[in-house]
Amino acid sequence: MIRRIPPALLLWLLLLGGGLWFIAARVTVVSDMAQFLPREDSLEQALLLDALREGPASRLIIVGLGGTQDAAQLAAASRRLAERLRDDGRFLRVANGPLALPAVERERWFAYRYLLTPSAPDAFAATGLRRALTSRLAELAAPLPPLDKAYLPADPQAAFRRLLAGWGEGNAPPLHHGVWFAADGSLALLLLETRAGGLDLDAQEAARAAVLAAVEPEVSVLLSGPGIIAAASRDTIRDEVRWLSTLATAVMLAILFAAYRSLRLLLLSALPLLTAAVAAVAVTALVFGSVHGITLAFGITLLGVAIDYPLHLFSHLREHESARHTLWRIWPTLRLGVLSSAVGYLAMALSPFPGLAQLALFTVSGLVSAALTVRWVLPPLLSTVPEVHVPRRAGGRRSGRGLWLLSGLIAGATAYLLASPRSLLETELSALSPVPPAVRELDAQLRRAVGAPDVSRLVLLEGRDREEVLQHSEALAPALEHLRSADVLGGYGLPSAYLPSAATQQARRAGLPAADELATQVAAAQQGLPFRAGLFEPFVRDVAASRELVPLTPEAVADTLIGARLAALLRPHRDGWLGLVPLHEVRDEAALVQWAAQSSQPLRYINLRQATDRLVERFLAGAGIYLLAGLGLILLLLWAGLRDLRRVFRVALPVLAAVAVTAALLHGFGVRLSLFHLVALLLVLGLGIDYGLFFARDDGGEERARTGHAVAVCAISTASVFAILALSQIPLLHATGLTVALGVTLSYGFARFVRRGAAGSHRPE
Amino acid sequence: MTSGHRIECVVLAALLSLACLPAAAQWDAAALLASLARSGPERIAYSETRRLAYLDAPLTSRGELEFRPPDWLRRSVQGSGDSYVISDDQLHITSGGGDRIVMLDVHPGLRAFAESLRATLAGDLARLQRFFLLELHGDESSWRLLLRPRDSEVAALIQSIELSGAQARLQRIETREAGGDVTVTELQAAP
Repeated sequence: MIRRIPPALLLWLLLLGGGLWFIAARVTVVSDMAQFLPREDSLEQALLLDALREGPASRLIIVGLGGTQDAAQLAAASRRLAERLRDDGRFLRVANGPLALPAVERERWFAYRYLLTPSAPDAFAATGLRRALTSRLAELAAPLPPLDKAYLPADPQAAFRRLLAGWGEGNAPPLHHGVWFAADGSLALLLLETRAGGLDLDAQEAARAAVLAAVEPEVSVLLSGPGIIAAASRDTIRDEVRWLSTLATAVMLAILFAAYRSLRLLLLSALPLLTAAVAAVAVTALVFGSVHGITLAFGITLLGVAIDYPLHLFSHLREHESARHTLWRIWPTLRLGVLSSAVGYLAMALSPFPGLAQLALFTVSGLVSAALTVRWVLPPLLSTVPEVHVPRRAGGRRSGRGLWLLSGLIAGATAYLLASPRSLLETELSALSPVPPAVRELDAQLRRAVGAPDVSRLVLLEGRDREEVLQHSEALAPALEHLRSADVLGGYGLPSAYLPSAATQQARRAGLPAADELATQVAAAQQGLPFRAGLFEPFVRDVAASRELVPLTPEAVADTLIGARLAALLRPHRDGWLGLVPLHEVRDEAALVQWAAQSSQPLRYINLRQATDRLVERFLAGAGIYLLAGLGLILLLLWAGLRDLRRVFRVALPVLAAVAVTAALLHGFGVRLSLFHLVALLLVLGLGIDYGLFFARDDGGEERARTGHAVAVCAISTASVFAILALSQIPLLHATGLTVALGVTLSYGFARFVRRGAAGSHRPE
Repeated sequence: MTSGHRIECVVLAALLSLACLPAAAQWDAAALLASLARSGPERIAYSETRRLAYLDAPLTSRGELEFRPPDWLRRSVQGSGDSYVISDDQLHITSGGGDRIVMLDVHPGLRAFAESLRATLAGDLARLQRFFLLELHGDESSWRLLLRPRDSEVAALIQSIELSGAQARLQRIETREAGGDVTVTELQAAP
């Protein structure tokens, strides 16, 4: 016997199949933090996001080698590791000690020494040359011979030595056996810079694996860096989510089985959630082009409310009534609950913050499709209705004080939050990052050891092209040097220190003498000094050759180590270019700000840390506004649906009280509210309104007991699952779990409290 | 009888020589370094001649070495007043141009160069061997200790350093650099 498949079921199967295919074939998940944050056009923000995405700081990896007391062994291991990694194309820079240029690059730079280094006005006249030769003679006579003695005939002015010195590391860690060590000598240190951006997690993971594979087994290795942390935390999240979701599923199944004692219902209860997940991912990807990793992890959690929808249906099933009929009874209430949740997120979907908008769209499309599944797909599948036994309980006594009490609680909690001197909101960007605290601790330790360049404070130069930026950079040098000697800052890294502007190179080139003229000056300078006649012929030849050189540009040196470092400081911006001048050890920020404001040069001082904090603050403030707007829409919708102010209060007050008390409790425990807490509170709001709506269905007798059963099963399962999430080490999951578990428990408790109060007032229907 | 006596003498001589053998074998690099080890502070005057490929005439200088065990060494140059102090991992240079601190580990060559003298004066064989391959020639009364750098980077700079002397006294240091430059440092007898 073939039964006709209902068209709704067929359509559902088709959509589900199509959605799954689309997700498998087309959807990409991005993990770029910057895409989650506000779209901004201001220079600071653009730069900030750029820096977060792929700035030099984000591409840094710090490696510590330890595990043995023998410093010489560690140093040797460090050298061998550096050697191997330098051959690996994944790394732009591998530093474990003072700058070591590859031999090929040395030659190239050496040829350009007279264009790249400044020299005294009389450097190529007999007086200046004699000064240089006297210094070189003194060096030769010194007990320790100069290491660059071989360069003397071609470079008696030691121009190349000065060029290299200018490129050296600012404040490097102490050296032992020729390589960097931590101050206590326990770790040999290396600094790596990856070619890939810090948020390219697959590339960062590959870089990490490459380092681990290149380290010898005798030494232990510690690794940190923004990209490494991000990649590692992705793995941690995967592992934690795996065991947490296994545990949560088991607990959920146990609760549902205890409540319904039917395997069929257990299986059916998963369908709306499954549909919701598929629809949410597919719709989000269709609208945004891709799905953000945070949306995915967080949105799926928010969809958890969809598990409640089938439960309402199941608890209300009666023995001699078709499922379709049962659904019709509860559908108006369920619909209002779904719509009010969706409307709360809808306000967020219109926000200009891409992260919020995506999250909202994800949740709304998920919730609506879950509700539609309950409405159209579940009833045909429940052609025979299993018996659901519901314990009967007597209704409580009438008490009119409940609502006043809850209003008092809301007022008290809000007053406490507003009056608290501590900041309510978490503005640290790192709070959004799902990094376990232990990993952050290691990072801080390694950073301290290596004296890692703090690139949060910058001077920003703007120019039409890179050449103009380099010219601005050169013009800035005297002012920064003055600030350094005034102890306002400890150091700075000018782009022009790596490569002078073409204009400067041309000027230097124009000042170089012709070969015969220089030969005469050299001969005069040599008079009376013991240098062999003709020794400096290579020098004369090289200077003459330099007169023919074409000035080096950033593009021309892009394939060199120095070129790569320069590229990190020069970035395209709109139609022009930006020059970044990192400032180290800023001691007097006020003086710096004042200097920048008064400077006649086209420069700007920015503190990226402050800018990040402001950005997150604005993001949170924006999220707060959209949450409030969502709340307003929810209340309006309730009013439209219930048409009775008292009932609106009875539905909304318990959950509002729960949200306020939860926020107050979290704050009382010293938790700063992050974006995740806020959105979790929105989830609590949706769940609580659902509870309130069902409790507010003024039905008597058995129906009242069934409603009580449905809401109790929903609340217990949700609270348990989120309590399990709260066990997580990952800040995001912990925050969400704790907030929802607390909020749902309170919300259910308050709603029951109000319901008991409202009992007995039921009108005969 | 007579022949028996002769045999006894031969046996006795053989025994005696055997007894002497271990004593002779003990005089090696370790024994030399042990005898060179300074127990207290010491000042030694020196004169130095440096023949460089770049120069027509040799450079000569005089000065004083001051050593305080175990690892503090100062070299003061007469005339210019420049001084070079090696302590721990640092080279502290005081000259007319001002003071400068150079980390010995900036280049392995610098470190090896410093240790050739400092470790020798300290009698620290292990430290010396960490940087150089050792080769001992001659006997206790006139010895030559040849140091060749282990590290190829150092070898690109320093070909060899030859220390020579008599008994527990270091008399002469001859440094051959890779470019053919030779520096000879004569140490005067302690006053």
